[in-house]
Amino acid sequence: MNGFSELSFISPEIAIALLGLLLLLIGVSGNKNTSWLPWFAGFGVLFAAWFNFTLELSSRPVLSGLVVVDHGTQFANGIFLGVLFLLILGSEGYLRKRNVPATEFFSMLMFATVGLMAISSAANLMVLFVGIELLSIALYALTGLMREDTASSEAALKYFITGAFATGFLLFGISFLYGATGTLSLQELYVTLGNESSSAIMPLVGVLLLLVGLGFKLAAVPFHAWSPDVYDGAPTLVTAFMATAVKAGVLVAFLRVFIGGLETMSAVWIQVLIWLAVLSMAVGNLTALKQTSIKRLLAWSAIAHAGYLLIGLLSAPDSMVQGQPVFFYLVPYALMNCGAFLLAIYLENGSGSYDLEHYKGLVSNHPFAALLMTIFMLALAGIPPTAGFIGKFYIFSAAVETGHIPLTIIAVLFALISVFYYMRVVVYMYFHSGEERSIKLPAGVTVAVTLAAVAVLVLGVLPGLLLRFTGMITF
Amino acid sequence: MENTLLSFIIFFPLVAMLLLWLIPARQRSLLLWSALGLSVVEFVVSLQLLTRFPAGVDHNFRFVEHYDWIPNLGISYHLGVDGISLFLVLLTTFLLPICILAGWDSIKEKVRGYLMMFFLLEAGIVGNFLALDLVLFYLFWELMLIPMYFLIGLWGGKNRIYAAVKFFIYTMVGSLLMLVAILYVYWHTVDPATGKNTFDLLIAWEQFKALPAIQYWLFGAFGLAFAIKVPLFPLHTWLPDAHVEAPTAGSVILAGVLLKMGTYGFLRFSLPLFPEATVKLAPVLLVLAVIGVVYGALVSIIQKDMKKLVAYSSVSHLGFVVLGIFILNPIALTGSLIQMISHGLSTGALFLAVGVIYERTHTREIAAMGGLARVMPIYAVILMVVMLSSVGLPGLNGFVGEFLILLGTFQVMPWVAVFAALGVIFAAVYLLWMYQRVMFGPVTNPENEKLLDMNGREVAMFMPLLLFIVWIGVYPGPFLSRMEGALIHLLAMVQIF
Repeated sequence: MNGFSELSFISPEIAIALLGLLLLLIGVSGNKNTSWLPWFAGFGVLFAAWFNFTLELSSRPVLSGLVVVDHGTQFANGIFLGVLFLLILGSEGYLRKRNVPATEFFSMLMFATVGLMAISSAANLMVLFVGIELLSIALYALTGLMREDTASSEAALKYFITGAFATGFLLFGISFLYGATGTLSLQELYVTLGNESSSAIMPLVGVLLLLVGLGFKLAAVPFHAWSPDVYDGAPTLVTAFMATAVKAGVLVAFLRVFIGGLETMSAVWIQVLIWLAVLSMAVGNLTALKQTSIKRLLAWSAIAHAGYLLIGLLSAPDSMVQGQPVFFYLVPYALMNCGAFLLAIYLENGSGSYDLEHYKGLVSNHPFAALLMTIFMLALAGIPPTAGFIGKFYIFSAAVETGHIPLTIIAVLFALISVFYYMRVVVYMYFHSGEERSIKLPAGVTVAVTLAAVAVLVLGVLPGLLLRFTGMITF
Repeated sequence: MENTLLSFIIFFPLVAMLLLWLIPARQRSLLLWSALGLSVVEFVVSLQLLTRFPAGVDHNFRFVEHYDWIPNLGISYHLGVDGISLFLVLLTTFLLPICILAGWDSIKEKVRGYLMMFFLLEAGIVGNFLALDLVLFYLFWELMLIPMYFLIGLWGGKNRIYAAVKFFIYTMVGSLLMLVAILYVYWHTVDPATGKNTFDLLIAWEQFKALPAIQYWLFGAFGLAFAIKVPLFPLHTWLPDAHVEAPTAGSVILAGVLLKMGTYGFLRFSLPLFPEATVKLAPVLLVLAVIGVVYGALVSIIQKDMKKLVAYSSVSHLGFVVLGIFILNPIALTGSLIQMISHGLSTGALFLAVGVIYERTHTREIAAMGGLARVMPIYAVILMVVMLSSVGLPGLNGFVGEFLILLGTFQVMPWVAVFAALGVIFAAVYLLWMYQRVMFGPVTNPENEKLLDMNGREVAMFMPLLLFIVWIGVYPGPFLSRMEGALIHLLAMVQIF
């Protein structure tokens, strides 16, 4: 088949990549006026979203069997582009204030998104690897973008070293699988591993190494050690991106590889994932309990959420709805985290500290922001009528369906613990009184967080709007 | 409004909330009057439930609304009212205007938010009593948590944050485990019409079957949520904190209807869904209930704080209700349901009465009072009636429920009835003793000499309560006749297995 005609299948990727390159060119041109850049990037993203919306789907992998273009791809792309759009809306003022170079920031964000799109549509382990590399390298750069800030540089270095190490695991796992089966295509892996006797050691080692590599990218415990420092040190917009879009992308990649390719070995990896899920929920929630900075609190909460999402993942092989609960939950998850991070950026008191102490009495200083933050916290805690509840509900439902009842009970107990620290933010904002200070949310941020909060509430009451799309996703 | 009456009753408070939000926060009296008006409208509309609800022995749900809500997940919007929920809904809409009157002068700050929280609370509670879908029920169950949390945390007393968080966490512990049980029920309930799994409660009543060993676990998960809410001994420790810290009106609604969500849950979910576990585990609950009756009463006797005394008396009275439920006998069960209503009226009135004193003296210490009857004669009369109704004096509402519960219990387990009757005696002790110390004798505290008696607003908020306290006491027939059908059907469901 003519290779060029198949390029239309990856038109969103191409659009975002071109956008990234253009932004990079603008950066070298030496134009000092950057106030129009968010507009440019925002419209570019909308353009890509339109490509994604009209994307032609294919029942089999395209581009020589490297890329899957199905409902899952389209849905995941939608999440990435949505997050990107919200963050661009919310970037107003932040980049200037923190002296983050705007062109580099936007272009790296675009390249990272292309990486995410690649891993979430991978039909071949090599595409997965290339996508992860593209994503990671862009993220290393993004983390260190605040050049004068030592925490930022330190975070970038830490991330780079541990990340390179994890990539090694991933590559090693891929080579083991290749050695055992002679193929990198996930479809062929599925067939070959299905025929093979289950005691073969090579594919087993491959699967375990892959779990380590992807678990690291997901920041699942015990592969999470890098993430609190990196989340804390990185520019907060980048942290928001890592906590939402990157997590979403890695989870979709997980589904692609483990359901699409390695489902026949599910007996092995389900056992491992149960432990990763329990540990992530335990360590994430218990550590979040004692955080005093909203940024670190959200970082640990993201680790805990990786645990809940892993439950959806490990229920997928035996469930009627497969990975649909994971896809569903990713949307409210991305919305509420984006919202919370964006608000956190503009609620700090100018000193650059994200201490929760500054939230005392927020309700009298900026009642609207306090209300929105409350909605996000309730959603993160999984309390109805927010979409955060329906998402958790859907995942737990699949877990009960597939007989993981003890795991579900553990999960709800940890969800209960999480209520403590999410509600503590609310307690600070509403029940304590604090100093008077004026808080200004830039217009773009107000729009972004209001959109996110409204979506969280609407999807909480009418989840059918989203279920219509997730219901079409199959593997 | 033929078929949308129940939806109207649930969503009108939310509309009222938005309307209040449109009024500028500084317009204090406009806010209060609008809130009062809106809550009265809600009550008047909800009265239609009663006028169009025939007395008789049939158990059918009425005013049913049933739509697909989230069909992919088997969740429907299913509402209906029967003899069990009818009066609980009415009690809620009835208490709300009184709650708004109760905070008329005492709530100085953030009046608008305060009133909005009450309407949100009302929507949650009413929805909770009307929902006939497990997820819908769970949703409303959690929804009422948020406004109550803010009511305690924002307008409460000294330890309000501690009490608010404790309330929140206790409720969440129970409800999250209940959620897992709900999911289990879902995956084992198939709608025969569509062949799909469903959360519909009425279908689950018929289709859900589980082995006894599994029923125990499920009963435990649901029961924990309900027992915490009731609260059943030994899970009651959140209650005194929440009551003491909550503003008066918050206590009224908390004792009046929120606690009933627990006992209602037992009736609506635990008994019909898990009949075998109910019968097998009933003795455990009976023991806890009787301990609660006696323990709550004993602890009330030694309280120095009037509000805490009333709070512990709730533990005792609700123990009675649970006793009446798990004796599994039609007389006691009817007694339980009427006692749920009576307790809402009497204890609500007691909390109001404590609030009246607190607004004047800024203390609730029994020791700081004495001889108030001479200074506040109207108050003395009203408190006397309210107190006697709580004690269970024949001719007032408290007697009907307690008598029926004891009568039913005596038929099945005489000894249990004897122990429970102790609770009635102790109730007389702690309430009369409190009344004596607060009201009689010389005015011990010179500051109390100049206390004003109750004003028109305060008398007005007691009058409707007193009306029903006497009505149920003298002529409970119209109430009982509407409850019977549903209760007999409920017992039939428990015994068929």
